[in-house]
Amino acid sequence: MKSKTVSHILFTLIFIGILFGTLFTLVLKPKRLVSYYENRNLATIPEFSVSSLWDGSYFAAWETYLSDHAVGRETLLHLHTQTDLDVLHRPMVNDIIASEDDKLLAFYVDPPKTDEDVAAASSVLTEQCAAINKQIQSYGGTFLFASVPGQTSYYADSYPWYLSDTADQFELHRDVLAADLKANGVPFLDIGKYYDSLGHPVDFYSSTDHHYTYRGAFAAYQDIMQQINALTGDDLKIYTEDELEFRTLPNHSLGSRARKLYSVHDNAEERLTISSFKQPVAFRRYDNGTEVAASCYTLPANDTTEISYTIYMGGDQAETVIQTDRPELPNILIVGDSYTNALETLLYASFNEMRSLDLRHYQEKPLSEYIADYQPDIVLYLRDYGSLLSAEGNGTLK
Amino acid sequence: MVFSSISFLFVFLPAFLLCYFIIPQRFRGARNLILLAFSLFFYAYSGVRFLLLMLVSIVLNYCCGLLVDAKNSPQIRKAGMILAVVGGLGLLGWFKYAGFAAENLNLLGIHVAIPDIVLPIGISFFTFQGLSYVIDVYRNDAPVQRNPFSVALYISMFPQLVAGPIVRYTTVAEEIDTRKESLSEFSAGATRFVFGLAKKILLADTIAIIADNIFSQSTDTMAVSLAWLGGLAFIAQDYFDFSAYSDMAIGLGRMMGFHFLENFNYPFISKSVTEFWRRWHISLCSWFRDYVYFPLGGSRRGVPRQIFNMLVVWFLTGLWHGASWVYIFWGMYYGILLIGEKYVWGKQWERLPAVVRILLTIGIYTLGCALFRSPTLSSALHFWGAMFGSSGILYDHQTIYYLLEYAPEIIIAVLASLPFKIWIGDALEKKNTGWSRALLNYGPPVLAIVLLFLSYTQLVTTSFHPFIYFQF
Repeated sequence: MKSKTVSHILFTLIFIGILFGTLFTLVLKPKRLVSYYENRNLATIPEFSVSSLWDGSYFAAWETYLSDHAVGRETLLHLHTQTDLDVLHRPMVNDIIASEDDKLLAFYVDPPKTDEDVAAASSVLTEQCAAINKQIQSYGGTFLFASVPGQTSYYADSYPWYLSDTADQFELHRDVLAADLKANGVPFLDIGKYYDSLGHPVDFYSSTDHHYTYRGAFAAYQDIMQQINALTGDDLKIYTEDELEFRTLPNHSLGSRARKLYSVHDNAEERLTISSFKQPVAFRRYDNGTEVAASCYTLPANDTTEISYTIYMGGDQAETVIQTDRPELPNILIVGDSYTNALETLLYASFNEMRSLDLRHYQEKPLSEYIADYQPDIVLYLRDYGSLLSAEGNGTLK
Repeated sequence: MVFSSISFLFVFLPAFLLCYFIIPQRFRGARNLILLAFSLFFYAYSGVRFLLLMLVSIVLNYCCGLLVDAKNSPQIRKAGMILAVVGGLGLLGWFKYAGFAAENLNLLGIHVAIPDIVLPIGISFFTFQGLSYVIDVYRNDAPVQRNPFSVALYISMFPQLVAGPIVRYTTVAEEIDTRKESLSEFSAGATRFVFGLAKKILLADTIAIIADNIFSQSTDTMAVSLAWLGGLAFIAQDYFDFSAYSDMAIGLGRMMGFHFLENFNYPFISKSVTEFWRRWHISLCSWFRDYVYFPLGGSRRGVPRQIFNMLVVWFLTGLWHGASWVYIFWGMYYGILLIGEKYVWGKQWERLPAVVRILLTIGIYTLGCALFRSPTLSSALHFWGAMFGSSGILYDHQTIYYLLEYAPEIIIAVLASLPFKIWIGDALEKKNTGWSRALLNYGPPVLAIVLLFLSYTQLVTTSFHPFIYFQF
């Protein structure tokens, strides 16, 4: 048989085999419900309707379903990520930059804000903060806007030289906002300066997640408490390291950055730390109005279960209330995203009642109404540098 | 439905191949019906509402084909021709240009409601194909097709339905009824299809990220290097995307025994704009040449008339690409350049070294693409400004990032835009040794299998959508 004919036969068989083999496997293989690494539910079989057939959305939904359940999807995603990182050495893979010093950093594609946009965004937020500050002051309370570096800013020097603009932009946002807030009498705390005064410790931020580590959260807690005492004239207890027992969990932790890279480049050494007070402070905890276990941590059942930053306070809750029944102490309200979670495991002990709101999820009433209802003595608003001028989620105070 | 999707590759295509080839070859009509059914389903996939338009177009062109075949009645023939042109272009005009026309009337002070019309996918292609059928019958270049299903098949055949090439009726008239499928044709067609798939998924879709990101940025602070990178990325995206669709269409057609004409011929080795447009979107250019330029008189009625004819063709070419003044200007940009090459600077141009002419042609095409890509004329001018230093910034870090991030694709794109396949093939044939013949026979199919795997992997990764917080 001629060589060309043999090649035609072989290729045709392989080609047809791939097409039909993939089809049968696609139909017959069990379907997953969740993508662990993507942190989402996978698409389900679309519901049929005449209107969706008419306008094409029915089959478009089928395409999404088939893509989500493609044969070998997880394996190929893992392989593709690994190839991009280790073979092709792409600077950015899945929106993550694996730096030369083994940090997994965020890649930002959005163009920088213009000076006008920065000024406008700062002005809007300042106005909102000033209004909240005035409301809080009217009943004798104290408002504090605290900003903390995100991992991007903390490890700015780890970025490749051609991708280092973003941290500079975030610091510009911080500086513009700080000036506006000061001009409007709103107390502002830059926790980044405190970190710098401590020598910018490497272990304050995760190398595989966008958050600070527990050590970084502890330092932020101390800085915040010092500032609160300075603003209120109180002498609230600021716990020291000696008054806490730190415990590093042996479980492997999947950071938000590592998750996007399918744990291909993962700091296997990095662990999550928790703490407990040597002299425990009893409390009751309510999440979204329902009493839950009085714990600040969602701990794994064993040492081998993979964990994530959600061990702190069980992740993001719309509203959490911790009551310690010590009316001689002030009440605090914390507003912010997941950067508040590790902090809350420490803060509650210094207050009678700690309320925490995540405005991305809390929709019951505007913040001003909430403050009017509960009149917390201290309102702490915490934002990382990268989110400072974003109006989304916790970026709008009304 | 698009070829580069899981649903096409692993549901539609296997189902089609099974239903088509299970029927013995001697039952040509049955195979054609299967092909027609799958083609109509392919089109309806984007929405059944669009299928109705397709069916109207098919019926219109079928009936007009019968009318223009009335050999004993020139009036009926003419009426059929006029009906086809008016009807076909009328449908195209309504769905594609009504909104544009209304906007311009409003600008002129004539207040009309701007209709909100969804553009049916592929309407430009199948309208021109239908017209091609009627015109070819009218000109006696092809016999009328009395079987309505065959006309429907010609117009709606899924390989070239949504993105061309525009297949002339004369090209496939015989093959609709008398083609022969064979193992070698199937294999060659499948290989071509896979190469096209790889071009689309591995090159075009990836390079598109560079173009999309750069073109979405403000030109006020855009470095010259970034602007040119964006322009070059877009021409690469445009070429690999469009030529990939043609490859896949030609490959799919060949699997079924059809032989569509080539639509691209390595345009980036062109030494002039004239040559470029003989190598780029050949089916469209030849359509306008044969159905507009020649009927207007071509070059046979003096230089002023020829210039007018060229301007008309390029006005229409621009308009065909989209309902916007940007596209019209884009068309006229090339019309003027082609006229200039023919009558003004052609001789001086020819004296330049070949490499210089090639690079200049690429530069001219890049500028044209920057115009084509911009949403408005103003933004196009701003982008051109950025390309020539309006920001005062020569280069920036972003350029370095994109070059490093997409280095593999950029290198392969440069190589793939050159006729290496032909050079290597010719060299191997000349060598004529055992290994060179083995490479010629086995090289392309082996490479195709590898590319199919890589394309599938890349396709799967486009469904990767991670979230920091769990999405329900």
